[in-house]
Amino acid sequence: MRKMCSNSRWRHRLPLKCVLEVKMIVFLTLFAAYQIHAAGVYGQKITLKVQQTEIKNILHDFEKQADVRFLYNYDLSASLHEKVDFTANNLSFESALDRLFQNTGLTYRTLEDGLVVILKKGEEVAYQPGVITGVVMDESQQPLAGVTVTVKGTNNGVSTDGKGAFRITVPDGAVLVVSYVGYENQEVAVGSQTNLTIHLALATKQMDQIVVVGYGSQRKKDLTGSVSIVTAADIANRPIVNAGEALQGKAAGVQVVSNSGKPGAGLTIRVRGSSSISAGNEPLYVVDGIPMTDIAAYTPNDIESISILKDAASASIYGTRAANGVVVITTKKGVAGKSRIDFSAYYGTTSPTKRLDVLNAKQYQAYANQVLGNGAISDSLVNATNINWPDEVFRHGNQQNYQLSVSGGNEKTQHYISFGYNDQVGMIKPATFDRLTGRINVTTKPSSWLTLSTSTILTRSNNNNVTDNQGVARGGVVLSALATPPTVPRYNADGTIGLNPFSGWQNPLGAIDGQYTKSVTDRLVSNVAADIRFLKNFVYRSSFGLDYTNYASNYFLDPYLTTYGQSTQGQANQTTYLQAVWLSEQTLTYTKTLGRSHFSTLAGYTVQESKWNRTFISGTKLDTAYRHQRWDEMYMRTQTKQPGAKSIDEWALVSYLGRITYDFDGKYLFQANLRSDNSSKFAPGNRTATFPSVSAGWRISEEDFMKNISAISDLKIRAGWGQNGNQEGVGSYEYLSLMNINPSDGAVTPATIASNDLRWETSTQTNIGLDASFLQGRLALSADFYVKKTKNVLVRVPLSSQIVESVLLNMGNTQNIGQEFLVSSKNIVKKDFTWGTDVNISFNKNKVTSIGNNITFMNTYGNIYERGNAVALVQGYGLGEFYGYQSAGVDPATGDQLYLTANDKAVNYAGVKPSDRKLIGSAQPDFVYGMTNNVTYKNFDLTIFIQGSQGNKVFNGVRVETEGLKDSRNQSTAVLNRWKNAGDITDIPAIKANSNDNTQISTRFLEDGSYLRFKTITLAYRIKPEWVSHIGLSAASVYISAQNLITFTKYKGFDPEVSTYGIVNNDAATNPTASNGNATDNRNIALGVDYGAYPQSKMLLFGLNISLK
Amino acid sequence: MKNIHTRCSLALMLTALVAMTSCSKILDKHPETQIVSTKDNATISATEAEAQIAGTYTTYRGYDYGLEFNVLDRITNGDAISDNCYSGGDNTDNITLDNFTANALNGNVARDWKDAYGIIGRINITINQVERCADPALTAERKKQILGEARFMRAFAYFDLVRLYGKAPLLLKPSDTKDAQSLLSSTIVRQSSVDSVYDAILKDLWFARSGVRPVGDADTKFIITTGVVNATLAKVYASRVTPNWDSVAYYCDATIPDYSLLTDFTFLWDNNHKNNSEAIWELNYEGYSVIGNWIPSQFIGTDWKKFNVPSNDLVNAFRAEGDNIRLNASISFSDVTGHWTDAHWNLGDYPFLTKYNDPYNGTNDFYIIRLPDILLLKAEALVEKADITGAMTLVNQVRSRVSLADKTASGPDDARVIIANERRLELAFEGHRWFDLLRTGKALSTMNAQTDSNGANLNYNVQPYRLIMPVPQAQIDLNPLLVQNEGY
Repeated sequence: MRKMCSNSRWRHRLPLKCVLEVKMIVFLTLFAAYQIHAAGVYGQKITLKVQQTEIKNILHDFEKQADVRFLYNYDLSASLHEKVDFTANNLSFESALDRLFQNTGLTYRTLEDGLVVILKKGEEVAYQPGVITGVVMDESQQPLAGVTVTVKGTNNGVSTDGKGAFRITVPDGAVLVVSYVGYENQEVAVGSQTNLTIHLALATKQMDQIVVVGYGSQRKKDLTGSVSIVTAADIANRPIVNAGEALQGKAAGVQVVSNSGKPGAGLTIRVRGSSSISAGNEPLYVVDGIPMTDIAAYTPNDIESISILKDAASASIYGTRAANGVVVITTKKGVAGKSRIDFSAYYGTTSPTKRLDVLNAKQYQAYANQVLGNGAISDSLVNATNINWPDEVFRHGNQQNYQLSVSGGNEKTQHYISFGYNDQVGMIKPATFDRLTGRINVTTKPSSWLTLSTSTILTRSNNNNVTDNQGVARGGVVLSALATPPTVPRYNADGTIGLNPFSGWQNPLGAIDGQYTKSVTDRLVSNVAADIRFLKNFVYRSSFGLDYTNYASNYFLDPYLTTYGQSTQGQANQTTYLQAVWLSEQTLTYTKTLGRSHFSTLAGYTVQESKWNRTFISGTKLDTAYRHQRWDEMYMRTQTKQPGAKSIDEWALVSYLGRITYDFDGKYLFQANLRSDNSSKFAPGNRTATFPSVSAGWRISEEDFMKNISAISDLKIRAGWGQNGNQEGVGSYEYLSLMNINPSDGAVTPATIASNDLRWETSTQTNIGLDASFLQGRLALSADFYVKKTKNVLVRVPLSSQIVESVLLNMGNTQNIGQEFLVSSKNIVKKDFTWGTDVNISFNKNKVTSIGNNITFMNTYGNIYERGNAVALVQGYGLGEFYGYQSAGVDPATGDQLYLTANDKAVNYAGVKPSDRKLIGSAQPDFVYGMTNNVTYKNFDLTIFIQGSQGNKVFNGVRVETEGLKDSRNQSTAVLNRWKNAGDITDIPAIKANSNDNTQISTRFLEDGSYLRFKTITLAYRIKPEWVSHIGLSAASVYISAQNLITFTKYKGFDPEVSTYGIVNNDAATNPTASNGNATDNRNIALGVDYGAYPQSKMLLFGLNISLK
Repeated sequence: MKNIHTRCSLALMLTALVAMTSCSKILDKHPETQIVSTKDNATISATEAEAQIAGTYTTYRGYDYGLEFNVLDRITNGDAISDNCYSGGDNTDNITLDNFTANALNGNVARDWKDAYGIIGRINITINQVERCADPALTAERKKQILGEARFMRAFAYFDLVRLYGKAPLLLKPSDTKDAQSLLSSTIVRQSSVDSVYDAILKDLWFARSGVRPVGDADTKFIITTGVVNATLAKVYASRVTPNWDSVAYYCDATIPDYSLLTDFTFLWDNNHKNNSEAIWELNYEGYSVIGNWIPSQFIGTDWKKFNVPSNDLVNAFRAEGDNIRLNASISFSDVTGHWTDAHWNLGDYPFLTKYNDPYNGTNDFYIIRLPDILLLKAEALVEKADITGAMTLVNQVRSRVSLADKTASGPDDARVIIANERRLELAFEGHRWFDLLRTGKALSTMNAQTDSNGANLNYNVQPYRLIMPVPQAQIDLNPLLVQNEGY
């Protein structure tokens, strides 16, 4: 940073003092806003009669009578305390002042804004305060609008207009601080200049980046915690629909798994691993100040920056909800100056990354006649019907996205208004998703002491769901496509959907045409805040936010097309819920600079309350004549209505928070946070918890002994310690034993049992980090090491022989130890050619140090239909341990799948006992990584983003079905190599009708889930402004992009990035009490199970971005 | 200069406003659509006691446990495991149970344990709440009725458990929810011996017998009355390792006078004679607007291979007796050629279990106990008490209703065979057969003699240890005190 220090002798006499210091500050604050004109001062009269009164007090009376403000330097204090007699009767202001100063050593000078500077006689000439004008430009001489220009040490500031121009009144010797996002701050000593031209340099050094943190922002170089940053640039030109996707491969320490490639599907996001066993492990999201757990409503196009607060020190200001990290999202704001109108659009087509081949009719016949008995599939059937069901189900999907934004404003008011539309047609029928978003962000400063701001979104999402992640028996479309025999017709002669008569399962059209689940989610999130500046350096912020969701999901089962539909004669179910969460936050900030010490404190009080109100109605028995009507009519026409059911869920959180930040000369940094939360989710007495954190940083590069090492531009080490809590996923009434009320007769039934002493989980995390940049910022490096230990971990303990399958108890201990590295390099920086590389890699070792209560093992997760549970929770191991038999190949003599006994004997299933099962692998990766290469050549811009995961296992549950060789299900072509005759050497066992013996959970289905994926390859071309200027555009670019183009993996299924049990159903996501215990546990523990997930898609897209003049 | 005051006061006002909302009231959230179980000294009202016993009944027949445990699995365990049905369908859990190859991971084995204890756990809570009810509006008589009904249903669940699994943990109190440690400890309970479980069952039944309503006072046959309790006492005494035939006869006699056979066997199944004079304990299903019995949809229809396919042995037994009325009321035949293949039946004449005939509307009731069960049980008792003539009178009472000629027995063994066969045909698909085979010691010999339609042995090769189910592996994993049944 360039420091342009004034040589004015006044500089060292700052700060100024005033008649009443307090009022002086106020006056400085009001300074720019009040615009009191000099003419007013001169027209005003003074009437006053006092004796032996301090001049200071007389001036105070003057201020009351005339609308003026006095300025003076503190070395005049003695003179102002002098006592004098003074009389004025309707005297003009100037005459009165002349009379007052008559016999003193004082004189004055009137400035234009009603300011009167008091001076020592003889100093008038030296004092040259006044109005400064200037213009701020970038290095290419382009004016910058919206640049903040402030007088250093004061709150007096203005913004530049569309031409980069500003005008500000300053005292003599003032130093201007010129700041603009994305540019380096600059300090300019005014000196004797009245017209300045200031050039701002682009912030090439990452260290100058402003990072949004909890309840405020900090310069990156001042950070003492561990914070990852993803900016709008990282998201640009990528077809990201859920903002969480933006974190994948971009932020060290953050693991993102798309559980399903389904449009609108959720993500599993883990910041520094999973620490909870049964409560939530998802990070807390804070969008424009509002904490929330679901950000599906937000379009990434509106996002300005994402900060991931990873360690306890940076996250603990969010206390009990911060243990899983905090993702702070800031949306775009308008800047003062010229209005901008931006439009962006893309359109792309999607297809599966891979296809899985299944038996054709002829092959199936040969198999079926063997497994089901001769004649099961006749020749005439084979000749009549040969359908490739995967082809019937998979299709080319597409995605389109449009975003229009208008932003701008003036010095007082800035706005950002956007409208977005995203539409996806899934590559598996009938999945579709679309989302309309509208946003209004406005900031206005009605007066210099008051800033009002709002951030508001309105969205509507429509989702047409497809059932995935389910076995064939549960209507999962993906598995159904693979398992439906090719000889099953699409439709029967009577128009009903064809089915497999051996199993009773319909072909996938049953799920596609025979039923639907369509949901609409409306969400309004709005936050209104007032910032009030008062006294010296105090800011009081009061904000009120509302997060309102209206959800309706309609399910319809056709009464004719499907057998299930025929048995219930149609069904129409509807789930609706309203959720209103309000948040009130009051914070007070005090900042103070004393010499080279910078000190700031924050104190706050927040209240958040949620009410969730769900209604479920359903009807059956619909006359087939009405089966094509709209849902509501069909519901009304069902002849049998089930009793409706309601559930209400409420919680509240009342919190006190505080923070102290101190730095000495930007060299020694220190921060402490404290948050005390009170949650309604626990019994009185267990409601309050307090979470502290401390962190410190040392910017070694600022030390004198480092100044001469020019290769090192910046070097900082940081260390932090803190505690955070976790209560996400704990039901609102989970500490209570509850009874349900049966909606049909009002009868009461015991429903849950609970431990009264339920409380928070507490994570204690220590983080040590290093940030360094070399060669003027060309090479930047960041490294973090952490140990995170969590106690009182909530474990949903399965209970033997009880009314509930499990109960939530604080009993476990977990730990995560990890390392994260980030390297950012500008390999080549030439005028027409640049090449930059960003690499990040994260290692996390997750371990359940104890489950608690002498339990060391629980195998109740990751159920595979008819085979038991594939995943166990084991003391001393990480979450996601696969548990099963060790496969020992296929017995050439019998064709039986062999398993190893505990004594390593290879025997068939009849020879093993459940106790022969063991831990067979982990779903946790050794490390995850991402690499982005960005090359620009003239107007071309090429981005290649690679992302991957290494060392994780995936249980391929799909193969359990497609290589089951036991019944009428169609099989994959892999079974053509099955054992047929004694002596056959193969890894596919023989047919064994009606037996699961050969398909037990074993290493046979456990595969390496490592992958390296070209996530994004984008080539953009920036059209020269002069080419488009005549059609009214100021900038335009076009790009083509490929997503998931190539994936390197050994995984045999559709895609290794999968987690069947990671899915969050909408009800459960919003209402913890609606979630069934096992679902949450499976989400945390049954990682890496593929049981027919909707796979990731490959996407090719074309996009354009234009800016209107 | 005024602005500063304005601002300060504004800030103060806002702070004050916020402080007002801070009262801890906001943290007191209570469930609004559920009820909190009362604890310690708090007690429930009489109305609440009524709602809870109503809830116990809903549990016993409802969607979460009742239909699965008391209807579907009762038929599967009583008939598919026995010689009455093949498993049908293509569900491996059912197939392995039918073939006596199931292990401790079997889904049905796990489910039945879980369901039985789910029912028991709920009843334990309700009993505890009602026992502590001090509301004078709940008369002593009504309180005893409610507790009797609840304890009866608990006893019946244990009766099912002990017959399926042998020894079982006796959980007769709600779990201790004081804190995590107590809660866990109260669930880790050792299995009690078969005799101890029966003793606990009898204790509950005797309590119930002295408290519940007489038969005539109940609106429906689903309500627990003295008739239901007496009938169950008879069944329990007959099922103990050493049956007490005097007690069986005594409780049969106590039951029988309150009931009478319907004139027409088909009335039992036509849905127009619910809560009839013959029904002793009947689960009522009104259809999907209240609770719908969806089980028949698993048995009826030619679109796919349904569950619990009647066996050759059973059909032959009906035919051997010339028992067309009960055969036609219990089984229908259809041509399923081209639909599927089957190892046991000719596809042109394929049998379906159709005793429950409404696969669509869910209105079929299910009889857990009806009069012929008790009449024939008394006949068994009379045989053991050497009154063969008296026994045959009862058998012939049942036979004459379905237009079958009277039978005479040549001696006690012949009488036992005649009674067993009569029970089989009369009570087919009502979940009794397997338990009859068990208590009469005929399970092994009967199953191992089963043949296919051509007379070839089906090779069940049932080992004695397989007469009871394994303890589910999942339960053993959760409760280290549980001991696996021998052989598994």
